[in-house]
Amino acid sequence: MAASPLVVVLVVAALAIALAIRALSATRGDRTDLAEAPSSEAARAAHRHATRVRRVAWATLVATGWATLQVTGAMAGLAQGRLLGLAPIAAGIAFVLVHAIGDLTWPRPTGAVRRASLARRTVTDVTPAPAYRLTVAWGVALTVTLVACGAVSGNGRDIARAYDGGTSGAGPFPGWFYGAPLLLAALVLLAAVHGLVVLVARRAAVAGAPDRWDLELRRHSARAVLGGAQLVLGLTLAAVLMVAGSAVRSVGSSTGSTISGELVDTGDPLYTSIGISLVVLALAIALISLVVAMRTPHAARTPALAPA
Amino acid sequence: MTGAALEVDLTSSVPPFEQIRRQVSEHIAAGRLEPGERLPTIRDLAADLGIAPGTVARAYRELEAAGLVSTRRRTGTSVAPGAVAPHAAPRRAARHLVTLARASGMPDDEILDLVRDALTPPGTTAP
Repeated sequence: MAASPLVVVLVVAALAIALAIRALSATRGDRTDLAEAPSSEAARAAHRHATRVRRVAWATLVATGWATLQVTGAMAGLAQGRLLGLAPIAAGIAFVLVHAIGDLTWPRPTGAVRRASLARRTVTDVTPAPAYRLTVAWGVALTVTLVACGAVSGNGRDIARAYDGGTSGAGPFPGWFYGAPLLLAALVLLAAVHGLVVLVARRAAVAGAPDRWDLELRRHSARAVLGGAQLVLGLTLAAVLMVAGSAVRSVGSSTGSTISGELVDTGDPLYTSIGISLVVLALAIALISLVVAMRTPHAARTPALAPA
Repeated sequence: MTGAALEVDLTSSVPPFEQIRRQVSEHIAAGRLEPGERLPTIRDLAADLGIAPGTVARAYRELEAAGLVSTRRRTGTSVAPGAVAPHAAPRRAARHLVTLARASGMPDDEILDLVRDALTPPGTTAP
C-alpha cells in the first residue's frame, strides 16, 4: 500500500513526541544554582561573554529566519517553496555559528600563574542529556519523515492515490524535490551542533573558578545551543508534517470523479485519517519545540556570580 | 572526577613542561591520581593553562618515559597501571575518612584527634 511509509512517519513522530515530553519533564529543575559562585575578574569576563553570545545568537536566529522569509516572499515558483522550507534550518545554522565564534573567542587565561584541573572533560560531561536526546529525536524524526515522503511521492512534489479508473493527486508534498535540500541542511545542522558541543568541552577553563562552576557554565552553553537547534529542527519537522498531512488528507477526501456518469472515486478514509493525524502531530511538535525553546533562555542563564 | 590540579608559574626559572611533569608525578606518588585514571588531553590542558600544546606534550612524553603514564590512541593519556603510589590503600581510606568526617560536620582538629586516638594502642594514654 502506498500509504505504508506514512504510517511509519506517524509512529516515529509519535515516538519523538513521547521522548520530547520525557525530555521536557527531565529538564524541569535542571538549572543548578551553585553555592561556590566565583568573584574573580576572569569569571566575570567569562560570565559576560557567555551572556553576550547567548543574546546575539538568539537575535541572529530570529533575524536570519525573518530575512530568509523576506527573500522567499519576493520569489516565485517552485524555488519559493524550497527556500521557505529551509528558512528555520538556515536560521539554526547561523545561530550555531554565532555560538562557535563565541567559543573560539572565549577569554584566554592571563597572569603569570595559571591553574588547571587534571580532571578529564568529555563531551558527555558538558552535554545535558535530555536536551541532546530531544535534538537528536527531532533530527531522526525529520530524516524518517523526509525519506518516507520521498518514497511515496511520484514526482517529488506531490502525492497521488490511484483508484479504479484514475488517480487523485495533491500538492505541495515534501517529496525529494523539497526534501533532499532539507535533509542535507538538517544533517549539516546536526553536525554543526555536535562540533559546537566539542568546542564547548575544549574551550579554556575559567581561571579562578571552581571546577563545578566551570562545568556548569559549559553545560549552560551547550544547553543554549541545543535549545535553538531543537527549535529549528522541531519547527521544520512540524512544517513538513503539516504540508504532508494536508496533501494526504486532501488526496484522501477528494471524491466525485465519474466515468460514463458513474462515480468511481469515493475517497479513501485511510488517507484522510493519516492526513489528519499528521496535521495533529505537526501542531503538537511545533508546540513542544516552542515551549522547550521558551524555557531554554531561563534554563541556560549563566550560573550565578558572587557579588564583587 | 579527580580533585587534582596543577599550577604553572610562567615567571619561574623552572620551565613550564618541567613544572607540569613534576606536579603530575607528585599527584601520582601521593595517590591523588590513581592507576588507569585518564588525564586531560594535551589540547585541553594547554587551553586551560594558556600555554602551547607542545609544552604539555613534552611533559606527557617525559612522564611516559618514566613509566608514570601511558598513551593510547583511543583512550588518550592515563596514569600507568604500574604507577602505584606507596601505601595507596591507606591513603585512599584516609581521604574517605576526611570526606565522611567533614560531611558529618566534624572540624579538622577533631578529625586529627580521631586519627591520634586510633594510633594509640589500647590501654595506653594518648600523649
